[in-house]
Amino acid sequence: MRKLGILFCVLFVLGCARTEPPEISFYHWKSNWNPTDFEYEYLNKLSVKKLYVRYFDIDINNGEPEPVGDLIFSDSLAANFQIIPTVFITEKTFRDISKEKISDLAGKVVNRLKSKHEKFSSQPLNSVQFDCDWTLGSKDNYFFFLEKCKELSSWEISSTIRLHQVKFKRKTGVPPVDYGVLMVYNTGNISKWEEENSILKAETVSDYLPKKNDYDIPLDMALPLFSWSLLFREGKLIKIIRDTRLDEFNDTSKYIVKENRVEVKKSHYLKGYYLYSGDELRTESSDRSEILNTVSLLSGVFEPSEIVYYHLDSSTIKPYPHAELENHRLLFSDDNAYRPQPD
Amino acid sequence: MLIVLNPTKNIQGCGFSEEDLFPGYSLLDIYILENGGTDFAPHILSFQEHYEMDEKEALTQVEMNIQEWQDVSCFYTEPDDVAYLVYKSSIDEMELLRKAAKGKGNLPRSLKSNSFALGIQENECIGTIDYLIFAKRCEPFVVETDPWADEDPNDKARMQQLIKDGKKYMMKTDNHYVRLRYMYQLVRLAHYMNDYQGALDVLEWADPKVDEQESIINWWILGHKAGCIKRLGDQAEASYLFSKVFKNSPSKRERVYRSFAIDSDEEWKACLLKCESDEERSTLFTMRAMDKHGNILEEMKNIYKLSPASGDLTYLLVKEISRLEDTFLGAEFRRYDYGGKPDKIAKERLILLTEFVTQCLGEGKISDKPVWKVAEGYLHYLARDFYAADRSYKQAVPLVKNNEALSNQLGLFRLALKVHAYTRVNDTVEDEIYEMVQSNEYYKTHETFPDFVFDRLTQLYLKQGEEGKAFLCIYSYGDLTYNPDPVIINQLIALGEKERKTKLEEELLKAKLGEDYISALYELKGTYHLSRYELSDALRAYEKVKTTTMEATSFQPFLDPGFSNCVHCEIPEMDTLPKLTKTEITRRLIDLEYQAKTDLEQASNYYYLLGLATYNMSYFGHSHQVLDYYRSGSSWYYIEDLDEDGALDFWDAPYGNKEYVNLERPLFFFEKARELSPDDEFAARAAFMAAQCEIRMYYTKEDYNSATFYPKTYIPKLPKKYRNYYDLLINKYKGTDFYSAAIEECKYFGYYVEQGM
Repeated sequence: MRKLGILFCVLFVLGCARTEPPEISFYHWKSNWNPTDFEYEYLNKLSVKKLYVRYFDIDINNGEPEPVGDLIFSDSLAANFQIIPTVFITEKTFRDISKEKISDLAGKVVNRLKSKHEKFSSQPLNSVQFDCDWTLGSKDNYFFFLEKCKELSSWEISSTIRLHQVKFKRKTGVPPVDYGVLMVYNTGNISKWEEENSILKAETVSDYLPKKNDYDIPLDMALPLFSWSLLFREGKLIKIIRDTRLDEFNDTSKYIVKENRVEVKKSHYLKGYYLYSGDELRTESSDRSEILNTVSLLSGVFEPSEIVYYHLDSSTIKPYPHAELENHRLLFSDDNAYRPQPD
Repeated sequence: MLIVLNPTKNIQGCGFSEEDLFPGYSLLDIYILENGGTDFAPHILSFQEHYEMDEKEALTQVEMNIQEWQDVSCFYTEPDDVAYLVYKSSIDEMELLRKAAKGKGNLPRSLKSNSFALGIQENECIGTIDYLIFAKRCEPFVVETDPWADEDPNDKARMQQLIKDGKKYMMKTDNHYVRLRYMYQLVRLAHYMNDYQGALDVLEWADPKVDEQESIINWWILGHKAGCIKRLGDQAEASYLFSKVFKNSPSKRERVYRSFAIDSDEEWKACLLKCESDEERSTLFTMRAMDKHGNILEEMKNIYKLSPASGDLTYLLVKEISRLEDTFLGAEFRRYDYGGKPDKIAKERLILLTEFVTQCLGEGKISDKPVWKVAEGYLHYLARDFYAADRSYKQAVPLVKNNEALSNQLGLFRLALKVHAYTRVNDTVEDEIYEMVQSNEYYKTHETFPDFVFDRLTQLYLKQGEEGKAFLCIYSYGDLTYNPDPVIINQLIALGEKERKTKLEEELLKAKLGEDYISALYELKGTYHLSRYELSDALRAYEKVKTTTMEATSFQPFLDPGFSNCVHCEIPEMDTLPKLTKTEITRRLIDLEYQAKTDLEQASNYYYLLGLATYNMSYFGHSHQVLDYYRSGSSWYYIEDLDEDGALDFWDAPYGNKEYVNLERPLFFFEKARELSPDDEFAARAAFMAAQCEIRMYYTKEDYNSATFYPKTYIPKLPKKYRNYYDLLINKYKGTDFYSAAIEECKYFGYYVEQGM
């Protein structure tokens, strides 16, 4: 009997031990599908097998939900990756919309995804993802939409989940999907000038995490690699200038730089936007030590099968050696032998 | 006469939409601009803020197109008839018209009384008909249809063929106006099939073959040319051309504004160099100023240096004043703190603009002095310099006398100044306000001025401690029912019972509370006291309510719901039992209290009835309407956010929406009933009702956020402190029939017993 007990304990421990570290995937969110050689090489070094590719968005136009921002395929979709078409849907699409219209919308979305995928990919379409930051006012309609899509397609369906939707799942509900991807970024108050870094702060993430994972569907993790500059005019946030880093503000005739804050000295154009003298910018990037600390926190709670990085773009991924991303995934396993220290 | 007020909402709570947001007030009439500013006015308030811009622009394009067809026709034609032929008729109808024009058939019935068709037929305008047929053939490829439709792979080949055909038809006609129209169709086709170089080649081919002429079509062609040049990579050239279309073509303004883009200082310089006049250069600065967040003053200064008489300066001035108005107009008294308080930056902006306006007026180079003078006064007013504002307004009077729109604007500004300058509301001021409401044209015709006036009055009343009157300025009876405020109710009762009221007071009372406002107020007062279980005060108030008002609603809170214990559960007896008015309910409660204390034998029954009534009148009971004029199901999601008064922020309720979730009193009564009952069956029933109170009290506490549930159910595992009565039922009343019935009928209790709690 005692031997059985020991055997049981061993099996129990083995059963509870983490096994494989999660896979690495990427979001592709640009408006043009045309990855560079550098990007392909980066993906290959990380043994990336899956890409979540934004095919189009849905927004309300003249009171009706319409597709906008179609992905332009300048190249065909690479056959050596599993492509998960992703659709971003604005929250207001699901406010004040009838069930009939939702059913109709689901049909249109499924057809559009099928048709685009068939045109540009040689692989079968088995899985799609929807990205919608639903609220209490749109929850029922969004969930109904997801159910309808499943009904019409039999695809594996996933949804993005925000941190507050995990913390307050009782209120916000759990979407009826096969799995979720927890978007662990945009944790701060972007429009507050005093905010240090709205992209990611581990301390803020910890406020949202449960003691243990009791979410009703499997959850994978999405982490940020992007940077941006937030333009403030007269104290208000008016523009996000994407893919900008602090080293782009070295011209002292135009800027005064203090840490990650920039004051515009002279009116001029920057990346297609006119800055006026007196404007201020706060540059933010996905801080490497914050990502590492966040991963440590997450690994104490979740066991994702993949980490999805946002997003695939040369200038975005260049600052992050692929070895670092490899370390992230190892942190989710029991492999304590390799735990790099933050910079 | 009813005083018209906008019932505007605050922005808290779910379910609000942008239409519900308080829109603020604006006294600025953008149509004071030259020619009514009709072609430019909508753009003043920024394209991004006008969601209907596309629709408006499409309409403008249609109107202008029809107008031009009418202008070029050598015969009279009605606009509706042109519209039909150009936009609605089918190719078949046009073919029949063609035959008729050639004398080989009759007009189809649909065109027999169409003046445009008749004119074309009479004048044998075959070329025009051929063009219109061609345009209709092009339509499916150039007009947006179903955004969900897939692109047909054969579309490009068809469009290519149309271009070939179009070139042939164009050369067949001697009418250069029609040729110009063909040119437009050809460049549009090429553009939309993404053959940008092809589009430019078509223009190069066609241009020498078409005589120069005035036409809106020239700008439409130029817009497409610019679009193609942009796609081919010459953004500076494209933006320059877009700016020309922007300046000259109202029907394309929004579209070209969206396409206008400058990426760098070099591109901007290159674009400026292409301009052939200071006027053209000014337009570039104007377009930059039109950005939602553009620094308008800086751009105005740039334009003023180049072209001080430019009409664009006045448009931009009005735009900037409109933005400042959002921040400053009524900042100290507007409701819901819309727009926030002006900060240092906004104040600086206001001062700098005012200085600039005064400087320009002084230098005398601007082209719209009357508008600028009125604007100067308004800017002084927004800065709260009432003396300077009044002085500018007086100086403006002789300048505006021949301009009705501007004269009206000035009149409204002066009236606003007068209202804002009041320091106290007394009977005289109330009489003035009453007269204004009755007969002042500006008040009666202006959309948001009434809000402005009454918000200002609200502020003054509040300063004077007259919360009741302040309430009446903005709200009405229904708004008070969400969360009855005793201070306001008592003040309104005192006002209503005052012997001599001003006309404004009387009007406000009737308009906002109804003709029988005294009964309405006492009914509210009684319910307020009843909700606090202040039975004597409640009865005193109810007794002053007209019987007919009381009898209009009646309830049955003493009905035992049994196991059908939910808000919307159907209880058959509800329809058959006699209902009680609130007065009767209150009297009954008073009697029961007395009886419970004096008749010890039956005390448990009396306490049980008291428990039932107080439970059923709560948020959770079938007679919640006794206390709660508006019970919201969605409050459930925010129940732990109730303030100490039991109210939640609610988008429609100025003082929040009170929900009566406190079950301590019914719990107390059920416990007394259980304790005093000699009969275990009855005691079990009382214990069960007490348990219902306990579990609902758990739902309303923060503890519930960390509730765990039995697997695959929504049944929460009850912490010990919330299951005293379920435990009691199990431990003490297991042998009763009621216990057995409860297990059968109450899913939760049955589950708890099964799971061993």
